[in-house]
Amino acid sequence: MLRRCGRLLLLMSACAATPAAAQAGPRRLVIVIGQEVTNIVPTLNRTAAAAQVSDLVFLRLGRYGGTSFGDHAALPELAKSWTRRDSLTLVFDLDPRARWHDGTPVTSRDVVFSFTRARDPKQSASTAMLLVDLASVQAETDARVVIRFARAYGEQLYDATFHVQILPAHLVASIPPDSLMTSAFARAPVGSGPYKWDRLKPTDYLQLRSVPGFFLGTPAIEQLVWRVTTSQESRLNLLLSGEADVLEDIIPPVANLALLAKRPSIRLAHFPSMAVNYLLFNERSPADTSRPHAIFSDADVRRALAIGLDRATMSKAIFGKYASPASSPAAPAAWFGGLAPAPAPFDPKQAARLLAARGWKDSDGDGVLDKGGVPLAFTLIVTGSSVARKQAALIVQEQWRKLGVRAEVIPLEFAQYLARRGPGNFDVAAESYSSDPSPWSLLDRWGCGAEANYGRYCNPVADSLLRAAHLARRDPAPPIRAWLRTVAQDFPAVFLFSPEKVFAMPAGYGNVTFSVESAWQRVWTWTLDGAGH
Amino acid sequence: MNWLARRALQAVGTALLALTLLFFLVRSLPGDPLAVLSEDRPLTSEQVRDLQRRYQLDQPVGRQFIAFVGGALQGDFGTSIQYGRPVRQLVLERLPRTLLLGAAVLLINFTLGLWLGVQQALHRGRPIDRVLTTLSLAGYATPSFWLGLMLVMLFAVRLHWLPAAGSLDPGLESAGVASVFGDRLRHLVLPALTLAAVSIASSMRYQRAAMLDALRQPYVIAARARGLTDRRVVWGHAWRSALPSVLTLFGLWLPILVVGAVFVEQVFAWQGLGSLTAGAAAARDYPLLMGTAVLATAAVVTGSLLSDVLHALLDPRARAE
Repeated sequence: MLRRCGRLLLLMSACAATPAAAQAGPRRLVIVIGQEVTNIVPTLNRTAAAAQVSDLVFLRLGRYGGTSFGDHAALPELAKSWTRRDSLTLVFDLDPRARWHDGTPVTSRDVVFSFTRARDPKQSASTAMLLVDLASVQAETDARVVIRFARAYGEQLYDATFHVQILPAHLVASIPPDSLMTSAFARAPVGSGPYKWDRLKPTDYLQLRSVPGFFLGTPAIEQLVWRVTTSQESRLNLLLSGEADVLEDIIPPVANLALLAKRPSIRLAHFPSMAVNYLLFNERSPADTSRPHAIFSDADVRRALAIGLDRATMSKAIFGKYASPASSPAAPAAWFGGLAPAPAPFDPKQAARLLAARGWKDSDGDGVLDKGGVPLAFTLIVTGSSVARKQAALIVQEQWRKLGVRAEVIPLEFAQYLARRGPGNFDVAAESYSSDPSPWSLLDRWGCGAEANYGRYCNPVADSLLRAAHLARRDPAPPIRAWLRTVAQDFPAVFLFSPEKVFAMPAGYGNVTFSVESAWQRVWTWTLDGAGH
Repeated sequence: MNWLARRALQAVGTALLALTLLFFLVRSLPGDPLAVLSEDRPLTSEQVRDLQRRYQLDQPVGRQFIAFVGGALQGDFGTSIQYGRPVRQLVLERLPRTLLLGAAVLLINFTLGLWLGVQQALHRGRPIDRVLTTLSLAGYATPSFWLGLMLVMLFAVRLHWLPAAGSLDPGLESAGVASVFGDRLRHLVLPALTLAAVSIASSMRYQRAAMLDALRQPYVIAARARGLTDRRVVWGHAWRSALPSVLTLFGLWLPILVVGAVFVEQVFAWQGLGSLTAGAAAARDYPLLMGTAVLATAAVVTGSLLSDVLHALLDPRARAE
């Protein structure tokens, strides 16, 4: 029996799993993620992970340049340069070296086709909404595209470059829009980026291969592999067993940091994100949205609940040192994030005073404040799939309890959460939102009557400030700063923190750069010499 | 023959009733599949209308049901809202993995499990019986996800003997069929062991009880008296008569082949039908949920029918009943 066991152990050792990096060297990078990637065709991809992979295959005229305002809002990608003809016209000259992965040159026809498709609400409704200010896109020559705008504003270049990835007209134009999702092109897309589609084993992995002689420089990493598993434990195990090289979003829980610190072959890479976590107050009654909320229509109560939370301690408990405090919907990583005022300091005494001044007192000695016989009690909905938000909700519940406020935390599965949030059937919702790099995009969430303004916050003065910023042609900072200050003072939500993205990855790569707007966009510039992180 | 036809008809009726109930229950759950699709950026009303038309969500529920039945009869369960791909394609992608895991577990349970059950009966009350009972019940009481994580920690993270998750190493794309087959087997070991460890107790206990009962029968005593070898008495006489009740269990286990095990699939990133179904339920992906439900219902009903048929074949008294 012992001999048999020994033989089995020897057999298992012989079949031992070989670490991913050791197997093929650092020329192959195995990334483990939690979302499935099945379709990377622009406007058809449905997950953030798919969009990130898509950014490596399909280029834009220019990539995000660190701001959304002015004529330096983009850096050259498919367009090698651009000039302004007048306040309404931008002219893009395509890089003559740019090629589709099938060898065909990228031409202005591809650009016009892609913009036409992106502006068609029937084909890409979300993108069409973002491009309403574009009046026309025309090919002047094979290598020159002219984009005209309906009005003069500061984000013209950003709009012309950020929202639209260019598709190969010679391959896509003949496919009926309704069939694109199930077409051969969607199964094996052809792009113009540094990596080309290699293979997809549905539910196992997706693999991209570098494009030799890519016109902006040949990538050092030859293969990029994304492995998918929805379980966080399983993702961590793949990293620890050496079957994956990179693990995205290793926290929470912060305990993972200590676990990985014991492994010298793994290093942490962190960079700021565009996400802000916040507790959204519903300012309208959940039962009847035409009426104000009995508690949260009062700005002083919202302010008291905000300053009654020790956000710094909460952030440290959930993200360790990898989160920044937030005072507004603008993430510190956004180019305008620095314009936001400092977060209101934690001041439970002032919070208690504010509540008392608004008539909330513990008249019956049950530990919960009340006013006119109504207790200061409400529900806090949170989606059960987010570890960070669930942890935050529980800490918030405890901190508010000390103020005499009773919050009942209701974890909901995602579909149920959306079903309640959409029609405003909630008191407080634990939210997280990643905005685009444009401050204008924040109007979707915080503008009067906006569809995604689930808390029904409305301040027409704030809206006009953001509109002024959008139309500014020189310095948009003053109206943006004023907008951020106004929102911070109105407390439509308790803005908690902006978590960083923390990745675990092997040592050995150099020039490691992650992009805030699309994490893997610059992976093709990484080197194999281990320098310059 | 009449008996079989009657049972088959009952099975079909049960399946239809279950699917009908499920169809309407699923649609009464709170949550909108299109809201899940839109996530952060709400869909425009035009998009919502288009999507509702595409997935027939703009139709009355009764008409949706008729469309579902019509499609199902032709093997078409529509397009998944979540994935934007045909349900049949998604199910067929995952089915082989689920069948592989389920078959491996059944094989372990109905070979090792039955053999251990027989050994327990033969050594009733002795230390080996007590040890096996304790171990099997401990396995039965252990949460599968916990056991799975422990096995991964030991065999994948510490010893690097077996893969931690997934069902195929991405580095093997250009390897031969034998290498891919071997790799699949290596990926299968831990999930199959986990599932078998938490489920083998039932086949062992069933077999032990049936065998104890059989060993007490006069014909077994007579066989011994005739001087037959222990092996012939145990496997040729006692075990044969103890088999029908265990085979009944086999039929009831069959649904595992199809439904899979959600927790184990998650721990080992074994992308089978279990996790597909759980994801479809969470996203309110009605077409996908109904597609997997059809398969699961068919497995349950077929398993039950198979149990009855096997039982009847081995024991004619069952047919008379």
